[in-house]
Amino acid sequence: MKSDITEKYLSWLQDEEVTRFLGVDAQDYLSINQLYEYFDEIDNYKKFLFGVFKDKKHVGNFTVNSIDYKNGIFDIGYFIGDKSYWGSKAGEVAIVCALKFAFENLGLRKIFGGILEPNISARLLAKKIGFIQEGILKDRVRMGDNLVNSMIVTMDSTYWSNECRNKYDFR
Amino acid sequence: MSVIEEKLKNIFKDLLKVDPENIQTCSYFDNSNWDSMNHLSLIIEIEKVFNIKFTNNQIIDMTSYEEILTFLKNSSDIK
Repeated sequence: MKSDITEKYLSWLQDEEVTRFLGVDAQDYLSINQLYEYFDEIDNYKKFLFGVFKDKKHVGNFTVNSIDYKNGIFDIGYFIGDKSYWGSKAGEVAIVCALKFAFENLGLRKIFGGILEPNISARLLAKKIGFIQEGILKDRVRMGDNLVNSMIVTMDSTYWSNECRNKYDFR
Repeated sequence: MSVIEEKLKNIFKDLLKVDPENIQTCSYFDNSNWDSMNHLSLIIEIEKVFNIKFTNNQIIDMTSYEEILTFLKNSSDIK
């Protein structure tokens, strides 16, 4: 909700530790108004934005994005901005909720996600949830002076239904 | 028990609080203390104790005690 766009949310996007692998620069979001603009661009058709709440606190966000209904494919994005919740499984919950929404509510077929090679935590989490690595895009993103690879990880709706979903309690 | 095994077991016991009898079957996928943050702590500690450096892909691949032990035993850098 728009009311969840706060100075705290803005501070997350200006924290280099939080945004290191997000493709967001601190200069991208300098004011609350810029976050409102981002929020207004969410069309709830090809891109959906959700908040991650733990202990009744807004601690991060996730998106289901790049939705291609014709081919039934999508990507997701997530970040936990409140660093006191890193290691709390908030990220895992965000990803699994994004998958559930995309596969079950939108009826999509397969996720193609990209994770930067140095983002060890996200790659491990993807492996744990059950994504498989299907490819590597070489030198995809510039990080400082280096070009880094993007690992393409996927999961289809059959694996979600038969293997992954049952590991989680959605009550 | 080899020296490598003994050192590795101590790291698992101290960092992940795994009972000694469960260490051999311990994996990232079924140990609630072994999350992505603790995985990085584990890797850093193993690198320090065994004086080695893992690649990013090795860090991703080593998700069980057995896998790490096998890697260390096969590593020519570890005496």
